[in-house]
Amino acid sequence: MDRRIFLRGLGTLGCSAAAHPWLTTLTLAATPGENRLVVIILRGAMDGLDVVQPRGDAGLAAARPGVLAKAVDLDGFYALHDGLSDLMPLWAAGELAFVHATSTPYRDKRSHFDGQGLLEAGTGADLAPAAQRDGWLNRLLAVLPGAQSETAWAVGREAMPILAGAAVAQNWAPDQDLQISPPARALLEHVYDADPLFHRTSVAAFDLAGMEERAGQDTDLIADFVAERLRGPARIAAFSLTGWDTHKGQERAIRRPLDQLQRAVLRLKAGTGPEVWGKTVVMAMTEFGRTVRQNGSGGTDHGTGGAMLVAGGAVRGGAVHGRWPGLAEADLYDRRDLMPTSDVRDWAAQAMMGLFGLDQATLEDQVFPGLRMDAPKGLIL
Amino acid sequence: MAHPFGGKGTKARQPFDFMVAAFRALGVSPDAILSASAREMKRLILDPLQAMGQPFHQAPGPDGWPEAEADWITPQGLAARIDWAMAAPERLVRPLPDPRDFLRTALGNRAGERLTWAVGAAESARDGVGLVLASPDFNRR
Repeated sequence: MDRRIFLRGLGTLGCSAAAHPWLTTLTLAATPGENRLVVIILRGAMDGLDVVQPRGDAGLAAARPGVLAKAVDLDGFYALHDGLSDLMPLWAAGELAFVHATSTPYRDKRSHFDGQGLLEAGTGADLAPAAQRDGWLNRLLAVLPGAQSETAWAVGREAMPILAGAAVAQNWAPDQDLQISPPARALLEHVYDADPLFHRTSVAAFDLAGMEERAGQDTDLIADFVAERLRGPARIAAFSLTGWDTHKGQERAIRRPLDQLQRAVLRLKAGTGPEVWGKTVVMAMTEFGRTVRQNGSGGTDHGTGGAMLVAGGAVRGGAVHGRWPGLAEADLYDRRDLMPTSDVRDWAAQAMMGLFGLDQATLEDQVFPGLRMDAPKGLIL
Repeated sequence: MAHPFGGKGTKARQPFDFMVAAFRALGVSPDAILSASAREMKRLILDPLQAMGQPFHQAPGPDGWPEAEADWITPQGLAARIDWAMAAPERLVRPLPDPRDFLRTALGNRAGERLTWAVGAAESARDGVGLVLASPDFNRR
């Protein structure tokens, strides 16, 4: 193939210059200390009420007559969605914790893009999206003494704004093209429905080449890669898991992303080995929670307070952290969402304090500007 | 008013034109394409063009490529367009644009209501940008 011929075709365009990284993204970072932090961004808004079910709250069953899945008891009040049940040995071993009713400062607008923007920028909601130029893991790198070029890694095909910024971080993605996720496919079907040709053709097109089959493999490759880097000089890594936007048929739709999350955690544990896993914290966080009441399609819509998963040998596990706000209508945010009782950034800051020995002033001024940290909560060993 | 990247919406964009329109909308420069390795070129452009039904510079016979949209929007052809729409932008542009802005850049006021809603509802920037490029709105000219 002659590239110049191809370019002649393009030459008529007069395009402007743009960033053109022929690279993909995995976010990993290597620091002098021995502890490791992995952040998983759960894109699409994970339904914390379904994943970590407050069975002890009578409001739950009333709000969710059809959506709630089978669950395994955790502590008599909370129960874990059956789709994460392979993680129960970690819970028993004290290597798995959750935070409930937590959120970023994002409120009311319910946009995935803006919610993720704020989650990864780690700023307050007072900053315009355009001003959120770097991510909080990148700012962490900047204050970590002795951070090297191999200290941090952004992994996977999704861009990871959480590690974007002035400090050097590495990127990696599996060398295969990811297929369309079920939520994206549902949206595309909605668009095609109004167009007879595209609608008719897409029915067969979606059946081709097992369009959804490879996403799980992709997650395995990412987790294995991160584990390998963590055994080496990397101390910080970030990647995404998608598919959480369960507006319809949640009972079925949430299983695939849950399975990917549980596989990712288990492969990180297996791949790092006991010594490194013992110095590792994995935090899986999402842009916001979902509505307390299920909708008319057997799903849930964009909400506010949600849940976070924290795993690793360095975690003080076996507990669901966070003050439970209750599900009575008067207890809800805007009478529809779980009321956040803590800030996601506070938990991340607590983890970084425990893992990297950073002081409170540095965390509040530089990593999460504007955050006022709460009293220590004993999340990290 | 007609948008500079778009036309009347009665014919399907042929694969090469589809790709070029996508590069324009994404702001990818010819220099960026030139700097790609032969391997990336094959993977991002040549193989997808073939999968979409239009191998590069291999027009069949004296009549050239067919014009009817049903000749292009086939199951195989559409599957290849969807795959490319979802996977290629992230390999071309970092960071991806906000999909709501990208919708305006790519289609101006030609975007349909359904597409506009779906793009705003996408769970990631990747999905949102992919929806624009895979839409009938973008694939017609």
